[in-house]
Amino acid sequence: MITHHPKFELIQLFVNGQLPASLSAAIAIHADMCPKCQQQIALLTEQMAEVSFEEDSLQADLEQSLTTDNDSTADYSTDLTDEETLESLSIDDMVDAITMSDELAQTTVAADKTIIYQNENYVLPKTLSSMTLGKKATIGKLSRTRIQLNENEVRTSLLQIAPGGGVPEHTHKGFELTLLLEGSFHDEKGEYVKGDFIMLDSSVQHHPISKDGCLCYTVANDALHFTQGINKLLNPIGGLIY
Amino acid sequence: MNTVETKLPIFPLPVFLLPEGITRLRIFEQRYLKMVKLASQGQGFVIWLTTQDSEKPLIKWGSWVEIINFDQGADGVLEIDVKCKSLVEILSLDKDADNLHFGKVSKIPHWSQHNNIITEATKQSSLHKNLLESLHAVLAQEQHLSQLYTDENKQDTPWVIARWLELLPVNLSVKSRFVAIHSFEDAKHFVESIIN
Amino acid sequence: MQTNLLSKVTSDKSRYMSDKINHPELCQWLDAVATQRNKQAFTNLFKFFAPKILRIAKTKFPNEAQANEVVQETMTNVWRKAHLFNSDKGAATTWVYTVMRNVTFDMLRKIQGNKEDNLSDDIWPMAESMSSEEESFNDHLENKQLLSVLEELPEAQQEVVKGFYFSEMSQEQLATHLNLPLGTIKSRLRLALAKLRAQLGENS
Repeated sequence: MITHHPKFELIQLFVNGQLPASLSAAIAIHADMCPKCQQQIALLTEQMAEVSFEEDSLQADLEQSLTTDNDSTADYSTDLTDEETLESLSIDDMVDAITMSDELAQTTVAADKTIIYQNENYVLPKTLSSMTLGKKATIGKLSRTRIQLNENEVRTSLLQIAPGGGVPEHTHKGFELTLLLEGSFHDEKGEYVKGDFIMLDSSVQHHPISKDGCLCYTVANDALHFTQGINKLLNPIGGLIY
Repeated sequence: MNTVETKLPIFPLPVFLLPEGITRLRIFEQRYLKMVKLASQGQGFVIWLTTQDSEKPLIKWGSWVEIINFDQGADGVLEIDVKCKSLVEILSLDKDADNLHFGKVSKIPHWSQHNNIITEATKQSSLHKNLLESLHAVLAQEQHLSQLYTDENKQDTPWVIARWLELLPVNLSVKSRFVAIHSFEDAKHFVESIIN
Repeated sequence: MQTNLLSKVTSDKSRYMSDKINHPELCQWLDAVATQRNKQAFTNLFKFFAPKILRIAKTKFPNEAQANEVVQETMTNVWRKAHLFNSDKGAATTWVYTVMRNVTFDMLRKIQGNKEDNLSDDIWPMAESMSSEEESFNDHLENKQLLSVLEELPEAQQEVVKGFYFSEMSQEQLATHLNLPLGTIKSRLRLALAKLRAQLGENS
C-alpha cells in the first residue's frame, strides 16, 4: 500500500501549474496510482477554477494588486471590467479566427514506451511518453538514464536498482524526490512500495537497498545551487520572470 | 400512500426495475433458492438496487417483484421471470441463519402506476411516436426481451418511459432520480432527449 | 492523470460551487460547441472566459502579447477540444481552467527552457477516459463502475447478474436499434445528463 504522498503544498502548486515539469510529472504518475491524491487534485482543481473564474474574487485580487503593485509591471493596467477588457480583445475577430477551422483536436494515445535494464523490461508511465531520454549508464547494480527536461539545476532520471543492489549512503544538499515506479526498496526508515512518493531534504541521510529490484523516477536539484533554497526552485516561474 | 409494513425477503442486485418492468434471474445459491420458495408462497421479494457507493448513503428503496414464470436453464439452473409490482421503501434489514436478508418495507407510489399523479392529457399527448415505435422495435428484436414482454405492447406514455429508463445505458444513480414520485416530467424529457 | 472530477466526487461538488457562476448555462454552451459546433455558444463562452483568462495571464507573463497569446491559445483549444469535455465529470469552469493551466504551463516552459515539448497534455491529459474515442465515454465508464460493483458481489450473485442484468443496453446496441451513429448517441446521452443536472440543480 502506498504510504508516502506529496505534501498538500506540492499538490496545490501542481494544480496551479506552478511546479517544474519534472515534479509535475512525478505527482501525475503518483496520482495515477493513488486514488486519494487523485481525488484531492480533482477537488483542488475545481476550487481553483471556481476561484479563478468568479467575478468577486477577481475583483478582490485586482484591488489588492493595484494597491500593492505600483511599479512598472502595472504598465498595462489590469483595472478593467470584463466589458472593457473585452473591447481590448476585439472578440469578433478572435472568435472568427478561431471558429474558421472546424478541425477537432485529435486525441491519440502514444504507444507504451519501454526501457530495458539488465534484462528487465519496464513499461514507462504514459506521462513520460514525450520526454527525451538520454544515454543509459550502468555501474554495478545501479543503472541510470537522464530525462532531458532542460530544467537547469533540477535533474530528472530513471534509476534502476537490480535485485540485491542499493544506493550508497548519501545526504542531499538540495532535495531529492524518489517515486517508485516498479518494485520496492527499503532504508533505515522502512519499506517503500510502488507508487510511494518520497521527498527528502538535505537533513536526511539514507541508504536504500532493493532486495528484489526496482525502478524509480528521481528528481534532484544540483548541489551547486542548493543555496537558493527549495522554495525558489519549486517556483521556477517566479524565478524566470522576475 | 400505503403505509402498511410488510416483511419480505431482500435480494441485493444492481438491477433497476420500475413497476411493470420484467427481468429474468438465475437462482442457484442456497439462500436465494430458499427465497424463491418463500416468495412463491405469495408475497414475492424485493430487488434492492445496490450501488455500493460508500460516498452516498445506502439507497433505501427497492423493487417489489412477483415471480411470473420459471424454468430450468440449459445448464439446469433455475431461472425465474419477475415483474415489479411496486416500489418500496426499505425500513429495516435483518439476516436469517442462511444469510438471507429480510426487510420491513412499505410501498411507495410511483408515477408509472399511479394514474392520478399524471394528468390524462400528459399521458396521452405529446409522446413522440418514435419513442413508442422504437421501444416496440427493441422489445421485438432483442430475443431475451421479447420472451419477457410477450403481450406487453402497451401504448401509454408512463409505461413506455419506464421501460426506456430501464434499458438506457446510463448510470444507476442517474436512473434512481426517476424513482421520485413527481419525476415523471423530468424522466420524459430525459428519455425524449436521447431517443428523440 | 485525471484532473477532472471523478464521478464519485461529484456528489460533493456543491460545496465548491458558488452561485455567482451560472454553471448549467456554461455547460450547455460548451456542449453546444461540442455537438453542434455552435458559434454563438462559443461567442458566449468567449465573452465569459476571455477577459478572466487575460487578467490571470497578465499576472504570469511579463508582456501583453504573451498574455494575449494565452487567451488565444486557450480559447482555440476550447473550440477544438470541446468534444473532450464531459459534463459528468465536472463543471465547465474546471475544464476551461485545466485548458488554460496547460496552455500557460507549456508557454512558460517554452520561454524558460526554450523547449517546445508541450508536456502538459501528458501530465494532465484532457482525454484520459476518451483515449480511444469510439469505445469510450459514458458506456465505458458506467460499465466499469457496474463491473466494479459486480466484483464486490458474491460469486454466485455475479453469475445471476452477468447473465441477465444486461438487458440494459449498451450504447452500441442503442445506436444499432435507433439506426444512428454511435457518436450521436454519445452526445445525446451527454446532453441529456447535462440538462437533467441543470433541471435538478447541481446538488440533488
